[in-house]
Amino acid sequence: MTPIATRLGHSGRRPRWCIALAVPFLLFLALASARAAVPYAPDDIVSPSRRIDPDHLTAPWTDLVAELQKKGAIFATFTENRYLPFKKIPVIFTGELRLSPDCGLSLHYLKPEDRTMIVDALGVILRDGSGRSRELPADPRALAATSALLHVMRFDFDELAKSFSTYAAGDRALWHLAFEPKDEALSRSLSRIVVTGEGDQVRRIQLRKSGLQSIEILIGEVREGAEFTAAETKRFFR
Amino acid sequence: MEPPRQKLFARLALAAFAVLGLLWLARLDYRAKISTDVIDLIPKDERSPELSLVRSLASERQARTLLFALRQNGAPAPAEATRRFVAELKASGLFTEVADLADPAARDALGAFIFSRRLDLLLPGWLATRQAEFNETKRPAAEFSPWLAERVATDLDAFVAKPESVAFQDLVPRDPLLLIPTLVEKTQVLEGRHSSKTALVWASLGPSPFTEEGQQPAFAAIDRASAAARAEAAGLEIQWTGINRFAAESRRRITAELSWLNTLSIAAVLGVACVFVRRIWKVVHLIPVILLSLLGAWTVSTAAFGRLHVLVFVVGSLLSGVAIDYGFYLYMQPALHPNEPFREKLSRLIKPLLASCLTTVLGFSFLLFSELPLIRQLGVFVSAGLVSALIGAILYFAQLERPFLETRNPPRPDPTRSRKYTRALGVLACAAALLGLFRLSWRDDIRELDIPAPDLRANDQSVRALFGESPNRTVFITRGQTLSDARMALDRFLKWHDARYPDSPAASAGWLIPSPADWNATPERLRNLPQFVADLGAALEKHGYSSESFAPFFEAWRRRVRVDNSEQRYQRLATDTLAHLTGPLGLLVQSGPGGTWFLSLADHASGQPPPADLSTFAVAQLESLNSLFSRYRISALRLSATGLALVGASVFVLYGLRRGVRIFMIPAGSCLAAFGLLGLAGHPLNLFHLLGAFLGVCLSHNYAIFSAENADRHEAPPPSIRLSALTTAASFGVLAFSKIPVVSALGTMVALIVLTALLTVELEPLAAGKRR
Repeated sequence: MTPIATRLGHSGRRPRWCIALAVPFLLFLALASARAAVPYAPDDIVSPSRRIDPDHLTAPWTDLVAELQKKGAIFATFTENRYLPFKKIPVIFTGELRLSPDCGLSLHYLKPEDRTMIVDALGVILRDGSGRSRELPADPRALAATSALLHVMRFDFDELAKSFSTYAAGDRALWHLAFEPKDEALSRSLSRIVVTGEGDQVRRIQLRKSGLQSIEILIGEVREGAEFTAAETKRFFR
Repeated sequence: MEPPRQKLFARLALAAFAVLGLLWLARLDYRAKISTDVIDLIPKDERSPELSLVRSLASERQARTLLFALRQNGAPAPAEATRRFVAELKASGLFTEVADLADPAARDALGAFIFSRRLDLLLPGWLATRQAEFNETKRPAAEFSPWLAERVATDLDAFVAKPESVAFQDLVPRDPLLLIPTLVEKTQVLEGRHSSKTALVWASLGPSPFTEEGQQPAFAAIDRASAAARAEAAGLEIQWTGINRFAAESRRRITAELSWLNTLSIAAVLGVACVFVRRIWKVVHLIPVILLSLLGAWTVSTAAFGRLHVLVFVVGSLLSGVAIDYGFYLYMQPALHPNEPFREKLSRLIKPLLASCLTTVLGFSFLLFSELPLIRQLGVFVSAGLVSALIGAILYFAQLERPFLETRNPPRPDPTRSRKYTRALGVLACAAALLGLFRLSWRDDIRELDIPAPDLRANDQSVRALFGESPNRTVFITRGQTLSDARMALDRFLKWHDARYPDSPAASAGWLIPSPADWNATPERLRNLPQFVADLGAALEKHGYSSESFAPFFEAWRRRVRVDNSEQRYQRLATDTLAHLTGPLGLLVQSGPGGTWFLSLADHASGQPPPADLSTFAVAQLESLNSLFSRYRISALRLSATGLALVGASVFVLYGLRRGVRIFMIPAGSCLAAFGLLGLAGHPLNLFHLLGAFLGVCLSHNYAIFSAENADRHEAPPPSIRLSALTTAASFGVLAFSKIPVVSALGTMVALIVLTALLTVELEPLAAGKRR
């Protein structure tokens, strides 16, 4: 088979016109990503001045939280970046997220492996691609950390307030909510949760253990008011 | 002997017997003496090692386990209520262990121990597996170290790409070989799928659940703990199960059944007596004979055996049916002349009495050769009871003034007119019985020994399901004389199992302990990997890891290389590991002077049993016990047949061939007819029908002997036979309605045989057409 370059009448050298086209394209991509990337919370998000009382919320958090709490069932795509202290680059997972007011939170990982993690009021279940499920041991500390994710997605401030102190920064257009464990034992496995959003959309959830170790969940396309069929509920929830 | 001296001697002898017997019985500790445990029906020295293991497992470990599920409004009980419940149970002092399964303390302690000793416990097996995999590549031995390093890095890539690996992220720098995550993954099945809808508490009872201490005090402690937990959480539901609940219920049911069955039996016997006896109050004189018989049976059997099963007394209470025969025979025989002294009367009746009693005792003595403790105990109980009944009857009536119980004799049909009908009936009955014999079916089910308690059973299954037990799970036991033997056998078994069930690999706590072969080979294997640390560092860098993060592991590896593996270290390691297996995990391994066994669990229904050379068997406990039950039935059948043959031979010796045949045919024919009838009815039979048949044969044997004397004189059968048979049939017939399968089987069989024998004895003269 003739190489494309030869067919085009060139040798192995990269054609100049190609570079000329590629540069503006890459620039455009970089700009677009910069626009799409959601800014991180300020470093001082966990400071006394930013602390809020979930029982006595003030503007703009009153309306925002009320809106977020009313969302009901959600389907979204997500990308999870895992930063490990012993790995130079993050491990990347992609998948689908389902949030049901009744059944809990389901993270269906599609890559690198087909796995579903279900977090609900009864604990955490891990289901592999063939449908085999196993319940993770009901360790109260692990349960507190994983169920925190469910409460965050539901914006259940009452439940979160039992184990976490709440902080907020930003405005309605770009907001950050941070949750810091009250319990020292819990803080050893999870030092902070930061949720970032734009308007009434959650864009990013960070579960941080230390400066070198964290999980970042980037929420992609969201479908609100999702209706899960019986088969879907059976497959993706307990 | 003059009559007054004879009476005095008889009274003194009776009083001495009664006093000695009662004194003996009064000083017994009945809780220790009488067992209600089904497992006690299996001999302690059972020859099959599998069944011995099942026996020890069931009685020593599993039987002491109590399971509790605590719920509030459909959700798990609040942690504080569960904590309170656990604390109260511990405070009772009745439990050796109480564990809240949600409390990670025990798991953490075990986890910390395994992690700290991971290179001792898990590295030998890991190295052996990798070495075997490398050998399959046929590469030169010098390439093992870089190959191994690359393999570790690749496995680590696959591991961090799993969402659930997040739980082990902190461990990875110290365990890049993934020894701990692999162990956790492999042993998931051991922990079971506990329900998350309830708080679960596991407890091990100190006293045996079959003793009084393991029942009422334990129930009271549980009630107190429940009340304390409810004080923390109103409306708390506590569901629990334990063998002691079944044992207590069995005891209650046996007591209740025996009291109403005995009342009904007495009523039935009195009813029959009212019909046939002229002066009913004179029946009172038969009561001492029965009591003396039971006293003799209890005294001798409790003296002969250290521990007796309660079923011996249940079945043995039927002895009264046999014991009363001698009383009836002596009491209902009219005097030959008005002044006939008792000694003269006795001398003409002693031959059939002795023949009947001693041949029956001879037959029952054969049961002493049985493997089954229950049958041996029954043999002694009945033999002693019969001898006591005979001696008691002779002595009791010897001290009465002209003892005679007068009967009402029903009109007898004319034999010449009824002969053909009687013969036709006989032929029909024989044909039906023969046909039925071909339809006999046996069902050997250990549950026949249990008292059915459907509510408790349903509750038990429901609680066990919450603890993750499932009928689709198979439990295997691998045994060995020493820990090393058992561990090696476990490796062989797991290899066999996982090849046969690749989708449901078995898991065993035995994995925590390295096999002796791997342990011994580890120092050499480590010495052959001098470059491994460097190779692994390079491989990790190549795969995008920071090798310096793994410094703690490299240091631990270097330290491990310097340590030698001695036998003493191995034993100490194993002992330390077993000491950390507490709570439910403690049931998975047992090691002691009697040997070691490991339990393995697999999520599949039990299939083909493992080959014998794997020293492993599936604990389909019920099936094992059923096969045992079946074996005992065959053994009992053999012994009964031998006993029967001996009884028959004795009869031939005592009565000659012609009379012997007649005497032997009545019990043997009645027995076959009863089996035939049950076969025709499609009623499945078990070991206890066989025992009932043996009892029935002994009873009908008495009738045959007692009627033989009259038959020789061309007289109608003595009325004592009719009364004895009808009272026995009435009392045993009542037992046939018992809800206890064993009692029902015995009652049905004895009643059928006795009635058939009575019909034979009564109809025989009619069929012969002789007017007597």
